[in-house]
Amino acid sequence: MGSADMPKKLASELERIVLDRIANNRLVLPAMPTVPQRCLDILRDPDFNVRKLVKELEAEPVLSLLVVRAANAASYGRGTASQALDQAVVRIGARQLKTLITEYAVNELFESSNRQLKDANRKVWEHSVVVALLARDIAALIGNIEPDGCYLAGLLHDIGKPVLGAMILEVDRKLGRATPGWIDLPGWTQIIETSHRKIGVAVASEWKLPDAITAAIRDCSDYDGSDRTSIGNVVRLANALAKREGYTTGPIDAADVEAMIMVGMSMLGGDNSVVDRLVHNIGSRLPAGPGG
Amino acid sequence: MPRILTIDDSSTIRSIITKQMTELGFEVDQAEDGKEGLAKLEEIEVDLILLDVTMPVMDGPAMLTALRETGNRTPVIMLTSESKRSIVAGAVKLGIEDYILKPFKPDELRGKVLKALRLEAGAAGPVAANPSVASSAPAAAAGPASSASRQFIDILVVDDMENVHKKLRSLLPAHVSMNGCVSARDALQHCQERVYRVVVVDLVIPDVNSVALMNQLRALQPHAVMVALALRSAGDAGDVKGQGFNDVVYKPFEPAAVDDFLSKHFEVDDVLSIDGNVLACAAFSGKEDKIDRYFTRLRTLCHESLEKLASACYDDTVFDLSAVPLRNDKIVRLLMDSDKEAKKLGIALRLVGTPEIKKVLGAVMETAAMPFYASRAEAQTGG
Repeated sequence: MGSADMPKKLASELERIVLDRIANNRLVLPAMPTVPQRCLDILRDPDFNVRKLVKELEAEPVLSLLVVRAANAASYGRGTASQALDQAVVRIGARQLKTLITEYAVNELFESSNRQLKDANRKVWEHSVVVALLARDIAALIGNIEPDGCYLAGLLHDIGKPVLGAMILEVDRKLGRATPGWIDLPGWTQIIETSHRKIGVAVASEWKLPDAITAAIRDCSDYDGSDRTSIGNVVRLANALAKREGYTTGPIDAADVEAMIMVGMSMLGGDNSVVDRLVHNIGSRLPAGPGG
Repeated sequence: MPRILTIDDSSTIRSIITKQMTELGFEVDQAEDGKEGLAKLEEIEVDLILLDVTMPVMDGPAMLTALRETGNRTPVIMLTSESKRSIVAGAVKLGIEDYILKPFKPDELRGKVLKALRLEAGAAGPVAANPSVASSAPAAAAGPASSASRQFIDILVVDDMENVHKKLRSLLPAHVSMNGCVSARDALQHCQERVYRVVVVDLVIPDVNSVALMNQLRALQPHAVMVALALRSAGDAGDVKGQGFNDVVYKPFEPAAVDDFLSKHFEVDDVLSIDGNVLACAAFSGKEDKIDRYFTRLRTLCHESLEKLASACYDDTVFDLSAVPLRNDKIVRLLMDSDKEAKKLGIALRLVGTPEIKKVLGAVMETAAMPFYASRAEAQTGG
């Protein structure tokens, strides 16, 4: 095998192995981290026990800090900032807690000790956050759609990508080829684009995410005309807008992106000029990345 | 009169479009498939085509391909129930102006047609994100607001309690205009239709994340100052600036605090105006205890204006002090500061003012030699 053919053949081999595992149900999916999982289990009960939840949260200091910080950010004008976790939990409520805890767990999936994977994940993460922010804004503009749900669906719509990336790395390690430059970008993109949705849906199912979010991950290709203002449709429009703004994870077809924007704007009843202004400077709203 | 061709196999759709477009004063022709549409276009010239996708005989994409192959670049809006990305992307490649999904709302059709015909600059898409909001807003019902015609308002207050709007309004001078909104949707709608100088957002609105709302409003009003509205009894509002707000005001409102708010955000352009190379000071109209702030602001603006004049390559400027209140020490300090700055920038100052001001400046060595004139005309000619 000539050296020029190496990446292409390697990519093809890796893709075959991953697809084979999907087909034979032999995927080893990343489990949701224990503490977030337990917290979300508790929150599934509408009359959840605050003390029980606080006990779980206390096992994860960073997550506890995020909860207190979120509660204090929401408390302006209502009272002084609080450091107490139980008060913070009560203050922000179950819905926002679910979003915050899932977001925390998702960020862990974007972490990687492999430099190339980290770079690739960073791009996916940036794209996902931009889609999430835009989806939330669009939902707020249109009304009658749950903005937090749109935010989470946007954040998770490409979650199969980092998970698949980690799988490919693992397969490659087992093949004994984990060296710098182990795969070229086109090879990487090809495998990821082909199979990430299946992996994303499997992760969503494993993590027991709401159906509307799983549906948004399952298919980003075409709008669902039967439910114009669905979370999935909001994410599809946000996805296209993010790509137009340059937050992409691979090459794009400009006409295709423009078509998705036109259809989405008409389907959701958005105003071009307003959405254009939301999109403007979206990069400045990006938070620090996972671990950042 | 603009002429529109609607190509659709549904006679109902053609009738609806014809009715709506005729009401806008457009002439409308009809065709029931792509082939008939092409035949029509050989006979007549139109300004816009509204084209369906799925039709018998010849469908929309085939008709559009044939049309473009003849070199005809007439703007086309796809008006269809087809939302498949591959089909719409194909049409985008052939050059379509816009897309409307059936069933459509009259506002969307009107907005996109007007935009395609370039009849309303800045009018993009339907009037409002949510038609139920649009129908309750008289300004929106009148049609899409062009960016040039958007109404300028000084303050928007977003607070779910209407009494808060009333109270603030009662404390503002009559010349300061103000709108009040009780919900996030209202606020977003207002910000789509108007231009605001200051947007005040209550930090506690039921079911609304005020910081997220402020960010959305900022996207719509990038030049507006975003001010948080906090409850005084809750104590310090904390790090609102860290959340993206520019400032904070507290309720219940106190007249002195509202005065401060106004002087911070509304004296900026009033104290000193700039016209060509003429800088003119405005009269002081506030309470006596605000006179120091007036002169401080004047000095700051004077420095900024001199820099602007220098960057515009002026080498002299007329500085009209006629309206400045007679406060000897403050006038002298203003002139000493301004003269120093002007010299640094290579600009010669020619002063205009009342005899009283001339007398004040003449009594101080540092300002006595500055050229002084009774009118702007004299100062401009150096006579």
